[in-house]
Amino acid sequence: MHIAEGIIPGPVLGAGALLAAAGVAAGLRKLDEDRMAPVAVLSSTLFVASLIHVPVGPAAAHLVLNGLAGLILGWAVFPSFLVALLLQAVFFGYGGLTTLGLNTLNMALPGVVCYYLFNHPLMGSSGRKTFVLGFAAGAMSIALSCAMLCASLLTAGRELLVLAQGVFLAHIPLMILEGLVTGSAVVFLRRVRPEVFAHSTDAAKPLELDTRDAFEQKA
Amino acid sequence: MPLNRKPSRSVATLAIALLAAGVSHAHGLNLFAAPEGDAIKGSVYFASGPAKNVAVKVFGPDDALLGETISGEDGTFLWTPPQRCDLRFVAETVDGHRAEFVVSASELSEDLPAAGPVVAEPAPAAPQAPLRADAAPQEVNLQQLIESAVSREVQPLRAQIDALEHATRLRDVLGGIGYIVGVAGLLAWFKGHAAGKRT
Repeated sequence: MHIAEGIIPGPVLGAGALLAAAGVAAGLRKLDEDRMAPVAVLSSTLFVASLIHVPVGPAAAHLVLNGLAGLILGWAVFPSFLVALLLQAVFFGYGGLTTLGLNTLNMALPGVVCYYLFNHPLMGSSGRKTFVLGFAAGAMSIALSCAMLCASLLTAGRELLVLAQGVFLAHIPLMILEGLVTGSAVVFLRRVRPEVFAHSTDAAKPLELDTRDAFEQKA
Repeated sequence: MPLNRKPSRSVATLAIALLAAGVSHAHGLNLFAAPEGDAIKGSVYFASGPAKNVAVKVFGPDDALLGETISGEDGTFLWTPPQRCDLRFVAETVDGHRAEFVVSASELSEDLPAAGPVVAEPAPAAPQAPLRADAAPQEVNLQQLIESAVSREVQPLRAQIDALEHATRLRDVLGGIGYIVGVAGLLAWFKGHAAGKRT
């Protein structure tokens, strides 16, 4: 899932970096200081997750966990992945520094999409439905990341058919595995620590502050 | 948003992650190549196993494409260089992994035609005395036997060193997690400071 250096043309890397920067800014803005513990734990998990390799066809894939991170963190999944990917590049040599923005975008954006799709129904669910929603989030986030990876590699001149077969189809076992992992994790967290999930009221927080500032200015 | 009332849970999660890291494998693509007689034998691998059917391109000086090959079922390939120059091997997989390795001209067999100005250094595996044109056939045979025997013993060591350099260590994992905890703490302090100013 990590794109190495020297493959993608410069303008695409630049565009990816800009979009990732926007996502990171949005994530940092919505971050509370009392959310830092889950963010730090999840960043560490994302950092270590790619060490757990899964035999997938001819090569080996690794756990990404962007669906789970998106459900728990919301937009904060962007800075979380940025830090994890930067440290993976520096300590393990995965991916690269020029590709940091594009890799962050490819992994974090599907997490945010899954947050908007699944977080609200997840909060009101129980039992089997929780697992199914978690599975769907885990599988869909990998599918979206794969699609974005293929799109990135298309700009490098790879053929669509080769990519569809060699990358997308090859990651289907990983989609299933991540779905199972995410489903189980979500069921466990919903039962034990339901408050760890980012609530959709997070989107309302900037609005609350604005009205309070406006109120204070009037007084 | 309630505070993290049970930090022991976060610590437990981190501990499990650390333990998992101890038994897991690295994932980046690696390439190693060394001369074997007149040809060059290379291997493309992940730390978790060999990389099969990976396209490998060979570039000479000035980034000229000298040839291409593909890694086999065991991740290895055999390629004969057309000339004696610095060779840059580049392996790329379909899904965006890439690895490079440079074989310097001095390692290559002296039987190959030279290419442009090449600094003549004594090859590390070859004996110091160069082959004399009028040397007896037995001497030449002995020299070649010595070269191939030393090469056979040394190349696996070089491959092992290369793999060792790319291995993921526990200290790398701990270092990364330490940085994450530090950045999270700094961010929390800044946010708390800003919130304190606002109220």
